[in-house]
Amino acid sequence: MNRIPPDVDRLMWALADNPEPNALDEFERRYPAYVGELGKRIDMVRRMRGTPLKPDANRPVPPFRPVPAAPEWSRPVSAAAFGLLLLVLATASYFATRWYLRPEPPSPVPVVEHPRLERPGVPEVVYAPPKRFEAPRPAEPKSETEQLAPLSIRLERVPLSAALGAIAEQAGLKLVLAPGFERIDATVDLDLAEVRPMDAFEMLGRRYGFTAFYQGNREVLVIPATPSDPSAPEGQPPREGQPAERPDQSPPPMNDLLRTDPQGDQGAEFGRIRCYTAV
Amino acid sequence: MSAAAGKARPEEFDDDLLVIERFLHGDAAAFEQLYRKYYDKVFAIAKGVLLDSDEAADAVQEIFTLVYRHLRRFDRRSRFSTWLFRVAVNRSIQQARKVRYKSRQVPLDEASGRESMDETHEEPADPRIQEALAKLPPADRAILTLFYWDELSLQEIGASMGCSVNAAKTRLYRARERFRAAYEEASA
Repeated sequence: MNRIPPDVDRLMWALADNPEPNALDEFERRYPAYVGELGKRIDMVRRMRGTPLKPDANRPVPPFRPVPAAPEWSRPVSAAAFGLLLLVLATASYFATRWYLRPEPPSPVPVVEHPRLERPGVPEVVYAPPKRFEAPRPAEPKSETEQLAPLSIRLERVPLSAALGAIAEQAGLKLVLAPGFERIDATVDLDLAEVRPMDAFEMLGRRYGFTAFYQGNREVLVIPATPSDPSAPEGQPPREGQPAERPDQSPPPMNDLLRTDPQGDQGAEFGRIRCYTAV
Repeated sequence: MSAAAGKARPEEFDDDLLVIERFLHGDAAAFEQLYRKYYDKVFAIAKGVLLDSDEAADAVQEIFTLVYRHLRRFDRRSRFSTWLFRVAVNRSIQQARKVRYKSRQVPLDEASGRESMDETHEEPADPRIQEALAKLPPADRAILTLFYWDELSLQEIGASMGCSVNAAKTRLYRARERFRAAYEEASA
């Protein structure tokens, strides 16, 4: 119908909706080419209006019966039910995921029972499981200072530096005295019996205020203590002819160093140092 | 005289307002009066959109139930009938979209229980009309129903469908063209 001009089209619809005879005659006179189309539309509209949509006139109007509305509590209850459903689904999903991702339990070793062979005269052999082999542990390697052989030496009224030199010489060590050691002016009597050299140095260092360091390669460095050094002897520096730690005139102390043999079991005494400042 | 001009009605007092006032003041019978007065028109709208008598009857009950509950919201800026038809059109279109009328095509005459018994028009009912209507969207069926069966003016149709007069005129023209195409297709 695109070929029908819009104004003619609207006019035909108006006539189809309200077909007045005079208007139809005028349309037929002015637009004879569209008379057929107008006739179709008039017939269609008449048939459309002739199709009843209203209820049967013989049937009485049914009484008004309001449709019951949904109860007011239905919405909250529905929302609560929906929330509960979501909660159940979430919980189920959680446990399902947890079950799915659970760690695999260790698979047990299947126990296979073999039938016992009943043979007369054949002794039953029971195989004991082999014991776990344990290799003997190697002994802890001794440190280089512990490998130095104990020595015995007896000296009387010798300077401290000479005593240290004698010990080092007998032990085969190279003794290096740090600067400042000459301030320690002491004469000592020394009686060592089966004492390791470093133990002897340590004992003497505690008494006269120095520290002996094993440098490796059989070299020992002797460093005198400074006044703030905790290794310095208490009280006044030792003076020749005076006890180092005991200003009173009490007899010089006897220092005993007992060592426990790490390999032994009773802690046997194997070394003794007797040292006192010569008066 | 055009159809729109012929259906133009002068502004006159809405008699329904008095009935509504009675109902709002507790007269339950007043609503029954409104119900009986507009039952046929509302039924025609529902049936024209739904194309089924039973569904139209149910829809009418729902429409009047809505009006019954929300009559206090009627602002009286339009005629009560316009407001009622608007509720009827919207509710029927909603129902039609919900039902998705397809195969349940009961002939209109069969559903209404009469054939060619219309007092105004003596033309026999045409099954092509129903077939063509069934091919239209619910909104087109609604506007055709309001115009051809309920014989509302374009002003009333615009108010009933929530649009302007010009928009109603355009919608009616397009719905009419689609209906004609469907009708000719059914006739072929």
